[in-house]
Amino acid sequence: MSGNPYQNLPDHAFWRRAVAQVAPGAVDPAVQAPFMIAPGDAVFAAGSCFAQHIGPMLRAIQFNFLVAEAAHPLASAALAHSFNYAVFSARTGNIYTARQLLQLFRRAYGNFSPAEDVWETDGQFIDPFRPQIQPGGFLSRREFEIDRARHFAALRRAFETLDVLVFTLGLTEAWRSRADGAVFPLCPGVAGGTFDAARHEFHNFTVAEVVEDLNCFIDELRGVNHGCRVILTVSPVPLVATARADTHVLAATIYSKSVLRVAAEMVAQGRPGVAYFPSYEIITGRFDGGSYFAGDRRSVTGVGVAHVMRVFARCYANIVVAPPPEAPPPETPPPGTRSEAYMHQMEDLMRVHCDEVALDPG
Amino acid sequence: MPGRIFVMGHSHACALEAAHKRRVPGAQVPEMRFALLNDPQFEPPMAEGGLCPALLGELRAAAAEVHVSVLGGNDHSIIGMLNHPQRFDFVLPEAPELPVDEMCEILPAGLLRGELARRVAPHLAVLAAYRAAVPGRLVHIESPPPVPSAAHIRTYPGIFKDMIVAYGVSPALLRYKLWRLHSALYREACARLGVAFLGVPAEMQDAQGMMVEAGWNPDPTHGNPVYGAHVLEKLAASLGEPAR
Repeated sequence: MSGNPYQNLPDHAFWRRAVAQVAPGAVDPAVQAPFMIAPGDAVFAAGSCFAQHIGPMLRAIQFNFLVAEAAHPLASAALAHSFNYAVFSARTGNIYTARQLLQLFRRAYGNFSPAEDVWETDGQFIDPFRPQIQPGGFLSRREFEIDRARHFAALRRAFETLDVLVFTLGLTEAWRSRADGAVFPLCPGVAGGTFDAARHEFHNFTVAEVVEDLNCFIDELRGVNHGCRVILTVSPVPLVATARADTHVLAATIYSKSVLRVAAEMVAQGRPGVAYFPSYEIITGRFDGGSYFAGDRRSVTGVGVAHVMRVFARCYANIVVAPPPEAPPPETPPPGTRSEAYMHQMEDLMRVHCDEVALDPG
Repeated sequence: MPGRIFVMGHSHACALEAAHKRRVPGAQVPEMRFALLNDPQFEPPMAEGGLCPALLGELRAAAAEVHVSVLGGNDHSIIGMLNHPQRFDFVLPEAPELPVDEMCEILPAGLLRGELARRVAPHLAVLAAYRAAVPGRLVHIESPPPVPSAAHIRTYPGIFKDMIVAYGVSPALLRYKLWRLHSALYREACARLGVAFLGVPAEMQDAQGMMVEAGWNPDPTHGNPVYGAHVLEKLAASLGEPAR
């Protein structure tokens, strides 16, 4: 009896051995990473909303999560988070599409200047490319311009010094400017600006477009950082809404994620130093009995994120980790820093200072 | 001017109290009663969502026609009187043309506003309870603008002496912008609560909006009795006008 190509394949190639007979929390679809991440490697995270889990996850497994725009220690952790400090590696807000990432890179280096680059409403200035970056928007045009310039400078430093970039692809559906193709993360009019069909158009990116955008981005990134490695993931979070009136949001979600998954595979297969990490498969694989999605069937639960983290840590650093407690990231310096000591001292002294005046008004 | 005025507040009320004491008694001088919340008997100033019994007792005893707040007023100084170890600046939304030190970290004004709001919230809670406890006119007096002279602050450092040596006095313009941000929070709260907001007397501000030398107390942040006298004059003038 002759053999067949499946006979000598490892266990992970077989559903029964790798999924059906494995405890849900032990399913590990990552197999082997094409490169490892060393403890000191600076890891930059960006992408769609699921990418917000990447930073805390990297911190939890003691990776070097690169924060290019850190919160000032004056701000409490909650306030800093509301201003999107350390949610991603930079104050990018959600980057849903590959085209948005590519355009951000080009904008940071002055190679693309969208015609529609600020929205003003009642004295509030909204960045069309990160419209929810801070509550109430920017409070003056000057503040907006200074912040954006510093954001770009921080991005350039990060792009040039990062060791690993993790990008989470989120959507294929996007709204863009008819004038110059600038892609907005949210449809104008949703969180700033005004929708105008004469100026804005819907576009659903194809596999070929996503592949080309990712390849262009990686080429340009490596133009400033030759040795950097890239990990692509696909967000498992479904579309909150589709712009395609003839399509059910579930069908639109599966289509969009399928395009992104194929594009990520093609880029990872075609480029050295580029990996695909299957967080999408871990969350959507259903081997967990559905516990990785919350009651809205959209939000990813902490248990699901912890599973992703375990697999990531094993795959990229040979680290075995237990599920971590869900805790907010330490956006502000830990107790005992010079800044905190300074503020405590000022608070105490000001209290005494005012008490002294009250005791002896003169 | 009404016959009886009750003033509740913190240390900035002292300039008013000192000015009042120095007035020559006469028909034109109203009776003023002060409750300084720095006094331990008023700690904590709130009880069961309202003013504490000690303050309510003061209010009853005063039986005032007009009530005045000088609550809080130095939270901006905590943040910005000295150079922060991680120096910062910001664009003041209402005056974006003012210079910004771009060598510093430039923070969103909204972030600083949020941090100041967190700090002044306990004072505004007392102001709201004060508003609920008294009928009629309640006036909040804006905290004094910063002393522009770093030399004055270094000369009269008080208990900040060692910290001033360690960190240095921050730029006057930064202190001024933080004061404006701080005042805006009080102004908005007053509008919400139905409290009149009495701004700094114009003659007590220099061309840049900071405190004129005649008003400097021998310490880093407070106004002196001269400053207090000008505030009282402005208060008296405002009380002669219909309530708004």
